[in-house]
Amino acid sequence: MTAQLLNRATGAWLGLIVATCVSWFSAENHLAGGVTVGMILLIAAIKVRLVFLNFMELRTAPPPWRAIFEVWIVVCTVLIWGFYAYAPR
Amino acid sequence: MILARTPDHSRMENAKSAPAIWTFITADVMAFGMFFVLFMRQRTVDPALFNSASMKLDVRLGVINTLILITSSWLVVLGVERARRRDRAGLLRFWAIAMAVGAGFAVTKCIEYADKFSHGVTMLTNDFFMFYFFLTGIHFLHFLVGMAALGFLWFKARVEPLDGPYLGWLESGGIYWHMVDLLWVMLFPLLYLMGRA
Amino acid sequence: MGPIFLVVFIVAWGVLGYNIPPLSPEWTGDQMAHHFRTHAGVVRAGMVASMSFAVLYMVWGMSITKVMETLETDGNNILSQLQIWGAGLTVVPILVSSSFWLTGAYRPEALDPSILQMLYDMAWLLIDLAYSVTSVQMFALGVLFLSDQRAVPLIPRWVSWYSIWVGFMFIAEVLMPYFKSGLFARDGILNFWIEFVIWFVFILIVTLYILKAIARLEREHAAGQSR
Repeated sequence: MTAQLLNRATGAWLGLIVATCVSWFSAENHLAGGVTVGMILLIAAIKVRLVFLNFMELRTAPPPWRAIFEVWIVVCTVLIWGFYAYAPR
Repeated sequence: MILARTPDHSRMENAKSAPAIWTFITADVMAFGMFFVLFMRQRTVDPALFNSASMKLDVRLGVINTLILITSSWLVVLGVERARRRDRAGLLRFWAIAMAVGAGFAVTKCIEYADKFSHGVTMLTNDFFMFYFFLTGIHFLHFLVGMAALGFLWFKARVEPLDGPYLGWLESGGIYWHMVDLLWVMLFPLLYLMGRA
Repeated sequence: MGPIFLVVFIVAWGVLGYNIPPLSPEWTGDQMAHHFRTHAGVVRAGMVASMSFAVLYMVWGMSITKVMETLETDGNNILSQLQIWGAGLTVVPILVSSSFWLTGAYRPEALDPSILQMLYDMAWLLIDLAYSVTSVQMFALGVLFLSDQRAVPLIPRWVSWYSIWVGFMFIAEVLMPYFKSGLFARDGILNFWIEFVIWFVFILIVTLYILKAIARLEREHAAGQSR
């Protein structure tokens, strides 16, 4: 259990670093054309989820708690993206 | 005579795996979620302004801030794992490094703010910067509280028994710190990346 | 006491006093003057009730402190004292700002619009920026109940955390004097709607759990377990 948690946490840490650099690179170089921002937001949502599940141990928390935050991630990301799509520039 | 009826007992069982600090976390995360949406809504009024203002931020500092908090969070997790194994020295070591790394966030934040102020850019400059300073400011307050909490817990961890309720406090402190990290992870693309993508 | 305060506050101060929502800071002096002159009677009634009932917040706070004291067995009662002072002193800005609104409604026809505007502004600046007094109440309450070592705490820990959270959230009010429109203005989504709603919810939640705690303490006392 402990080793698993440590592995998850370290894996998450590395994933977060990579994701951050990918986001930054994508933004600077407009990597995915029109959907760059959407991609960056998706990456952000994944990063947030990594923190919730692997650092804050939501995986082993009672399901209602995990559900609240999984839903929050989705709702927030969708709303943010929605507003962006409505007025990109 | 009996202290608790059944509902309290089952709640106590659950409390072990979902410390009560999650109430605070939930409230804060919901509030910030609302702030993010309000930011995006304001942005629709003048996206060009928001984009150009965002370009004035130093994205490298934003990236550094993100990496700092991510790493500090990870180190806190490692420390908590040590604590669960009653390894006091390991806990103190990891958390000391976590705080040292975390302190870097304050340094970059001061550099950023100082730079903006020296150019006359404040919360009243325009709507983007109103949100920029509000969001990063209130996040920074959370950061300061988090650093204080980690520090306080660290000092007490030198003497408290690690197999009692104190472990719960350590875990709660860690959870709060991860929240500080998580909120920044969401702020970073909104403030630093969206305008330049 | 708490909910009575709340109901009267909302009806009298809020509805009758035209404070829910607050009048926009973007109104001109003339608009403000017109408001006071046309609604003088209603505002007066609202403020009279608001001032009369404001003290209930303190009475409510006293009941909380009494419960807190049962947990302060080591003789250090600073937290229960901070709570009652916080609750008691919260009454002052409510009383004083209500008196400003009342003054505006007393003889508006004789006053210059800019004076009426100033009275309204002054009242809001006071009531909002006095936030830290109430924050102290919330922190003291939260911290004390979190220190409860019982297996099943007298007040659920999530209530303490909510209390502490609201105390912190109030800090956003420091932005209120700088903005006449938008989120942070006195009628803004954050500095009015969110801040006041979370305060009202705090009052309701704490009332509920304090009543339960009192009932439990009475049961324990009857069973011979109290200190």
